[in-house]
Amino acid sequence: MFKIIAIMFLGIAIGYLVRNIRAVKAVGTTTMITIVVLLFVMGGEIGGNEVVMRNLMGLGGEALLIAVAATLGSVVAARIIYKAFFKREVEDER
Amino acid sequence: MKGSLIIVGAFVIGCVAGAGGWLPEWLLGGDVTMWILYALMLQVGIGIGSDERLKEILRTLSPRLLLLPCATIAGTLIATLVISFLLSRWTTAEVLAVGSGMGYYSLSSILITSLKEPSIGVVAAAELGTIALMANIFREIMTLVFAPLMVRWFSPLGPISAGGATSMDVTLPVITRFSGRDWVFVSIVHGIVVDFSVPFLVPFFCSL
Repeated sequence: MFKIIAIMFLGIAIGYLVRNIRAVKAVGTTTMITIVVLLFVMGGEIGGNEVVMRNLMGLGGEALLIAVAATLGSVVAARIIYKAFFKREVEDER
Repeated sequence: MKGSLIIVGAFVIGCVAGAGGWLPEWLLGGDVTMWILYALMLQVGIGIGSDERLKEILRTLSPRLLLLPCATIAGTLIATLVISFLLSRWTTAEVLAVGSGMGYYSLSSILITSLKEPSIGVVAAAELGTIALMANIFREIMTLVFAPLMVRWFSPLGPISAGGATSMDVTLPVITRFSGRDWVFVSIVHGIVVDFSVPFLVPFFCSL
Protein backbone atom coordinates (compact mmCIF):
# COMPACT_ATOMS: atom_id res chain seq x y z
CA MET A 1 0.00 0.00 0.00
CA PHE A 2 2.70 2.45 0.97
CA LYS A 3 4.67 1.28 -2.03
CA ILE A 4 1.95 2.77 -4.22
CA ILE A 5 2.23 6.14 -2.48
CA ALA A 6 6.05 5.96 -2.65
CA ILE A 7 5.82 5.42 -6.42
CA MET A 8 3.56 8.44 -6.70
CA PHE A 9 6.06 10.59 -4.82
CA LEU A 10 8.77 9.34 -7.16
CA GLY A 11 6.49 10.46 -9.99
CA ILE A 12 6.04 13.89 -8.37
CA ALA A 13 9.84 14.29 -8.22
CA ILE A 14 10.20 13.23 -11.87
CA GLY A 15 7.31 15.46 -12.90
CA TYR A 16 8.84 18.44 -11.12
CA LEU A 17 12.18 17.90 -12.85
CA VAL A 18 10.67 17.56 -16.33
CA ARG A 19 7.88 20.13 -15.86
CA ASN A 20 9.19 22.39 -18.62
CA ILE A 21 9.13 19.70 -21.29
CA ARG A 22 5.99 20.13 -23.34
CA ALA A 23 5.37 16.40 -23.89
CA VAL A 24 4.71 16.02 -20.15
CA LYS A 25 1.31 17.65 -20.66
CA ALA A 26 0.17 14.43 -22.39
CA VAL A 27 0.33 12.63 -19.04
CA GLY A 28 -3.37 13.35 -18.44
CA THR A 29 -4.28 11.41 -21.57
CA THR A 30 -1.99 8.47 -20.83
CA THR A 31 -3.36 8.36 -17.27
CA MET A 32 -6.89 8.02 -18.64
CA ILE A 33 -5.79 5.23 -21.00
CA THR A 34 -4.11 3.40 -18.13
CA ILE A 35 -7.26 3.75 -15.99
CA VAL A 36 -9.31 2.15 -18.77
CA VAL A 37 -6.81 -0.72 -19.09
CA LEU A 38 -6.83 -1.19 -15.30
CA LEU A 39 -10.62 -1.35 -15.19
CA PHE A 40 -10.64 -3.89 -18.03
CA VAL A 41 -8.18 -6.18 -16.24
CA MET A 42 -10.01 -5.74 -12.90
CA GLY A 43 -13.26 -6.64 -14.65
CA GLY A 44 -11.53 -9.72 -16.01
CA GLU A 45 -10.43 -10.70 -12.52
CA ILE A 46 -13.93 -10.28 -11.09
CA GLY A 47 -15.52 -12.15 -14.01
CA GLY A 48 -12.96 -14.92 -13.68
CA ASN A 49 -13.31 -15.13 -9.88
CA GLU A 50 -15.31 -18.30 -9.21
CA VAL A 51 -16.21 -17.39 -5.62
CA VAL A 52 -17.73 -14.09 -6.73
CA MET A 53 -19.43 -15.42 -9.85
CA ARG A 54 -20.88 -18.52 -8.14
CA ASN A 55 -22.42 -16.42 -5.37
CA LEU A 56 -23.44 -13.51 -7.55
CA MET A 57 -27.15 -14.26 -7.38
CA GLY A 58 -27.59 -15.15 -3.70
CA LEU A 59 -25.05 -13.44 -1.50
CA GLY A 60 -24.31 -10.92 -4.25
CA GLY A 61 -27.70 -9.27 -3.82
CA GLU A 62 -27.12 -8.71 -0.11
CA ALA A 63 -23.56 -7.57 -0.79
CA LEU A 64 -24.75 -5.11 -3.42
CA LEU A 65 -27.36 -3.66 -1.08
CA ILE A 66 -24.76 -3.10 1.65
CA ALA A 67 -22.27 -1.69 -0.87
CA VAL A 68 -24.79 0.78 -2.30
CA ALA A 69 -25.81 1.89 1.21
CA ALA A 70 -22.20 2.29 2.38
CA THR A 71 -21.27 4.22 -0.75
CA LEU A 72 -24.32 6.49 -0.65
CA GLY A 73 -23.88 7.16 3.07
CA SER A 74 -20.27 8.19 2.55
CA VAL A 75 -20.84 10.43 -0.48
CA VAL A 76 -23.67 12.24 1.29
CA ALA A 77 -21.38 12.76 4.31
CA ALA A 78 -18.67 14.00 1.94
CA ARG A 79 -21.04 16.55 0.43
CA ILE A 80 -22.01 17.85 3.85
CA ILE A 81 -18.34 18.21 4.86
CA TYR A 82 -17.53 19.89 1.56
CA LYS A 83 -20.31 22.45 1.90
CA ALA A 84 -19.50 23.16 5.54
CA PHE A 85 -15.72 23.27 5.52
CA PHE A 86 -14.20 23.28 2.05
CA LYS A 87 -16.45 25.08 -0.38
CA ARG A 88 -15.90 28.68 0.72
CA GLU A 89 -12.16 28.45 0.39
CA VAL A 90 -12.34 26.89 -3.08
CA GLU A 91 -14.59 29.75 -4.18
CA ASP A 92 -12.38 32.39 -2.56
CA GLU A 93 -9.43 31.20 -4.58
CA ARG A 94 -11.27 31.66 -7.85
CA MET B 1 -19.96 11.70 -18.83
CA LYS B 2 -17.92 10.29 -21.70
CA GLY B 3 -15.17 9.39 -19.27
CA SER B 4 -17.47 7.35 -17.05
CA LEU B 5 -19.04 5.57 -20.03
CA ILE B 6 -15.62 4.48 -21.26
CA ILE B 7 -14.71 3.29 -17.76
CA VAL B 8 -17.98 1.37 -17.30
CA GLY B 9 -17.56 -0.11 -20.78
CA ALA B 10 -14.00 -1.27 -20.13
CA PHE B 11 -15.04 -2.82 -16.85
CA VAL B 12 -18.10 -4.62 -18.26
CA ILE B 13 -16.19 -5.95 -21.28
CA GLY B 14 -13.47 -7.15 -18.88
CA CYS B 15 -16.08 -8.91 -16.70
CA VAL B 16 -17.65 -10.67 -19.67
CA ALA B 17 -14.26 -11.69 -21.06
CA GLY B 18 -13.18 -12.95 -17.63
CA ALA B 19 -16.40 -14.90 -17.04
CA GLY B 20 -16.18 -16.38 -20.53
CA GLY B 21 -12.65 -17.54 -19.82
CA TRP B 22 -11.31 -15.69 -22.86
CA LEU B 23 -8.52 -13.94 -21.01
CA PRO B 24 -5.09 -15.54 -20.60
CA GLU B 25 -4.21 -16.85 -17.16
CA TRP B 26 -1.21 -14.53 -16.68
CA LEU B 27 -3.43 -11.47 -16.94
CA LEU B 28 -5.64 -12.39 -13.99
CA GLY B 29 -3.23 -13.37 -11.23
CA GLY B 30 -3.38 -9.95 -9.59
CA ASP B 31 0.25 -9.17 -10.43
CA VAL B 32 -0.65 -7.46 -13.70
CA THR B 33 -3.20 -5.28 -11.90
CA MET B 34 -0.51 -4.27 -9.43
CA TRP B 35 1.92 -3.31 -12.19
CA ILE B 36 -0.71 -1.32 -14.04
CA LEU B 37 -1.52 0.40 -10.76
CA TYR B 38 2.17 1.21 -10.24
CA ALA B 39 2.36 2.63 -13.77
CA LEU B 40 -0.76 4.64 -13.03
CA MET B 41 0.59 6.06 -9.78
CA LEU B 42 3.82 7.08 -11.48
CA GLN B 43 1.80 8.98 -14.08
CA VAL B 44 -0.42 10.55 -11.43
CA GLY B 45 2.76 11.66 -9.64
CA ILE B 46 4.27 13.10 -12.82
CA GLY B 47 1.01 14.96 -13.40
CA ILE B 48 1.15 16.49 -9.92
CA GLY B 49 4.88 17.26 -10.05
CA SER B 50 4.63 19.04 -13.38
CA ASP B 51 1.48 20.92 -12.37
CA GLU B 52 2.03 24.67 -12.19
CA ARG B 53 -0.20 24.80 -9.14
CA LEU B 54 1.99 22.39 -7.16
CA LYS B 55 2.41 24.92 -4.34
CA GLU B 56 -1.33 25.46 -4.09
CA ILE B 57 -1.88 21.71 -4.01
CA LEU B 58 0.61 21.36 -1.15
CA ARG B 59 -1.23 24.08 0.75
CA THR B 60 -4.28 21.81 1.05
CA LEU B 61 -2.45 19.92 3.82
CA SER B 62 -4.11 21.05 7.04
CA PRO B 63 -5.66 19.58 10.21
CA ARG B 64 -9.02 20.03 8.53
CA LEU B 65 -8.19 16.99 6.43
CA LEU B 66 -9.10 14.73 9.34
CA LEU B 67 -12.74 15.80 9.13
CA LEU B 68 -13.31 13.87 5.93
CA PRO B 69 -12.31 10.38 7.14
CA CYS B 70 -14.53 10.87 10.20
CA ALA B 71 -17.41 11.84 7.91
CA THR B 72 -16.78 8.81 5.70
CA ILE B 73 -16.84 6.43 8.64
CA ALA B 74 -19.94 8.04 10.17
CA GLY B 75 -21.80 8.18 6.84
CA THR B 76 -20.95 4.57 6.01
CA LEU B 77 -22.01 3.25 9.40
CA ILE B 78 -25.27 5.24 9.55
CA ALA B 79 -26.33 4.12 6.05
CA THR B 80 -25.32 0.50 6.74
CA LEU B 81 -27.26 0.59 10.00
CA VAL B 82 -30.39 1.72 8.13
CA ILE B 83 -30.03 -0.92 5.41
CA SER B 84 -29.49 -3.67 8.01
CA PHE B 85 -33.22 -3.62 8.73
CA LEU B 86 -33.85 -4.86 5.18
CA LEU B 87 -31.49 -7.80 5.62
CA SER B 88 -33.40 -10.09 7.95
CA ARG B 89 -30.89 -12.95 7.71
CA TRP B 90 -28.16 -11.01 9.49
CA THR B 91 -28.05 -8.99 12.69
CA THR B 92 -27.44 -5.24 12.59
CA ALA B 93 -23.96 -5.73 14.06
CA GLU B 94 -23.10 -8.27 11.35
CA VAL B 95 -24.17 -5.91 8.58
CA LEU B 96 -22.19 -3.12 10.25
CA ALA B 97 -19.14 -5.40 10.31
CA VAL B 98 -19.47 -5.81 6.53
CA GLY B 99 -19.98 -2.08 6.02
CA SER B 100 -17.00 -1.16 8.18
CA GLY B 101 -14.75 -2.98 5.71
CA MET B 102 -14.68 0.46 4.00
CA GLY B 103 -13.66 -1.05 0.68
CA TYR B 104 -10.75 -2.97 2.21
CA TYR B 105 -12.15 -6.29 1.02
CA SER B 106 -9.24 -8.65 1.63
CA LEU B 107 -8.78 -7.78 5.29
CA SER B 108 -12.45 -7.34 6.18
CA SER B 109 -13.55 -10.66 4.66
CA ILE B 110 -10.76 -12.60 6.37
CA LEU B 111 -11.45 -10.92 9.72
CA ILE B 112 -15.19 -11.57 9.51
CA THR B 113 -14.84 -15.21 8.44
CA SER B 114 -12.46 -16.03 11.26
CA LEU B 115 -14.00 -13.89 14.01
CA LYS B 116 -17.62 -14.94 13.39
CA GLU B 117 -16.92 -18.66 13.14
CA PRO B 118 -17.14 -19.43 16.89
CA SER B 119 -20.49 -17.64 17.29
CA ILE B 120 -22.44 -18.40 14.08
CA GLY B 121 -20.67 -21.49 12.71
CA VAL B 122 -18.36 -22.19 9.79
CA VAL B 123 -20.93 -21.96 6.98
CA ALA B 124 -22.65 -18.74 8.07
CA ALA B 125 -19.26 -17.15 8.87
CA ALA B 126 -17.96 -18.06 5.42
CA GLU B 127 -21.12 -16.63 3.85
CA LEU B 128 -20.82 -13.38 5.77
CA GLY B 129 -17.14 -13.25 4.83
CA THR B 130 -18.08 -13.70 1.17
CA ILE B 131 -20.66 -10.92 1.48
CA ALA B 132 -17.94 -8.71 2.99
CA LEU B 133 -15.60 -9.58 0.14
CA MET B 134 -18.19 -8.81 -2.52
CA ALA B 135 -19.72 -5.75 -0.86
CA ASN B 136 -16.33 -4.13 -0.47
CA ILE B 137 -15.24 -5.05 -4.01
CA PHE B 138 -18.51 -3.55 -5.24
CA ARG B 139 -17.81 -0.38 -3.27
CA GLU B 140 -14.39 -0.05 -4.86
CA ILE B 141 -15.81 -0.71 -8.35
CA MET B 142 -18.67 1.75 -7.87
CA THR B 143 -16.12 4.39 -6.90
CA LEU B 144 -13.97 3.67 -9.95
CA VAL B 145 -16.92 3.60 -12.32
CA PHE B 146 -19.08 6.41 -10.94
CA ALA B 147 -16.33 8.81 -9.82
CA PRO B 148 -17.24 11.43 -12.48
CA LEU B 149 -20.90 11.38 -11.42
CA MET B 150 -19.99 11.48 -7.72
CA VAL B 151 -17.95 14.63 -8.34
CA ARG B 152 -20.90 16.24 -10.08
CA TRP B 153 -23.54 15.23 -7.55
CA PHE B 154 -21.67 15.09 -4.27
CA SER B 155 -18.69 17.47 -4.64
CA PRO B 156 -15.02 16.59 -5.35
CA LEU B 157 -14.91 14.87 -1.96
CA GLY B 158 -17.57 12.35 -3.07
CA PRO B 159 -15.33 9.74 -4.73
CA ILE B 160 -12.77 10.12 -1.92
CA SER B 161 -15.33 9.14 0.72
CA ALA B 162 -16.82 6.47 -1.52
CA GLY B 163 -13.37 4.99 -2.05
CA GLY B 164 -13.00 4.55 1.71
CA ALA B 165 -9.73 2.85 2.58
CA THR B 166 -8.86 2.57 -1.13
CA SER B 167 -8.69 6.37 -1.63
CA MET B 168 -4.94 6.19 -1.04
CA ASP B 169 -4.21 3.50 -3.62
CA VAL B 170 -6.60 1.76 -6.03
CA THR B 171 -9.09 4.61 -6.42
CA LEU B 172 -6.54 7.43 -6.08
CA PRO B 173 -5.90 7.71 -9.86
CA VAL B 174 -9.59 8.20 -10.70
CA ILE B 175 -9.93 10.63 -7.82
CA THR B 176 -7.04 12.79 -9.06
CA ARG B 177 -8.43 12.51 -12.59
CA PHE B 178 -12.02 13.50 -11.82
CA SER B 179 -11.92 15.43 -8.50
CA GLY B 180 -8.71 17.17 -9.54
CA ARG B 181 -5.09 17.16 -8.41
CA ASP B 182 -5.90 19.64 -5.64
CA TRP B 183 -7.48 16.80 -3.71
CA VAL B 184 -4.68 14.28 -3.89
CA PHE B 185 -3.34 14.82 -0.35
CA VAL B 186 -6.84 14.97 1.09
CA SER B 187 -7.40 11.61 -0.56
CA ILE B 188 -4.18 10.02 0.71
CA VAL B 189 -4.67 11.19 4.31
CA HIS B 190 -8.30 10.05 4.11
CA GLY B 191 -7.26 6.59 2.84
CA ILE B 192 -4.66 6.14 5.56
CA VAL B 193 -7.02 7.11 8.39
CA VAL B 194 -9.96 5.05 7.08
CA ASP B 195 -7.67 2.08 6.36
CA PHE B 196 -6.45 2.28 9.92
CA SER B 197 -10.01 2.15 11.25
CA VAL B 198 -10.83 -1.19 9.56
CA PRO B 199 -8.89 -3.53 11.91
CA PHE B 200 -10.59 -1.84 14.85
CA LEU B 201 -14.17 -1.46 13.60
CA VAL B 202 -14.60 -4.89 11.98
CA PRO B 203 -13.60 -6.90 15.10
CA PHE B 204 -15.66 -4.51 17.25
CA PHE B 205 -18.87 -5.17 15.29
CA CYS B 206 -18.05 -8.90 15.08
CA SER B 207 -17.89 -9.04 18.88
CA LEU B 208 -21.32 -7.46 19.44
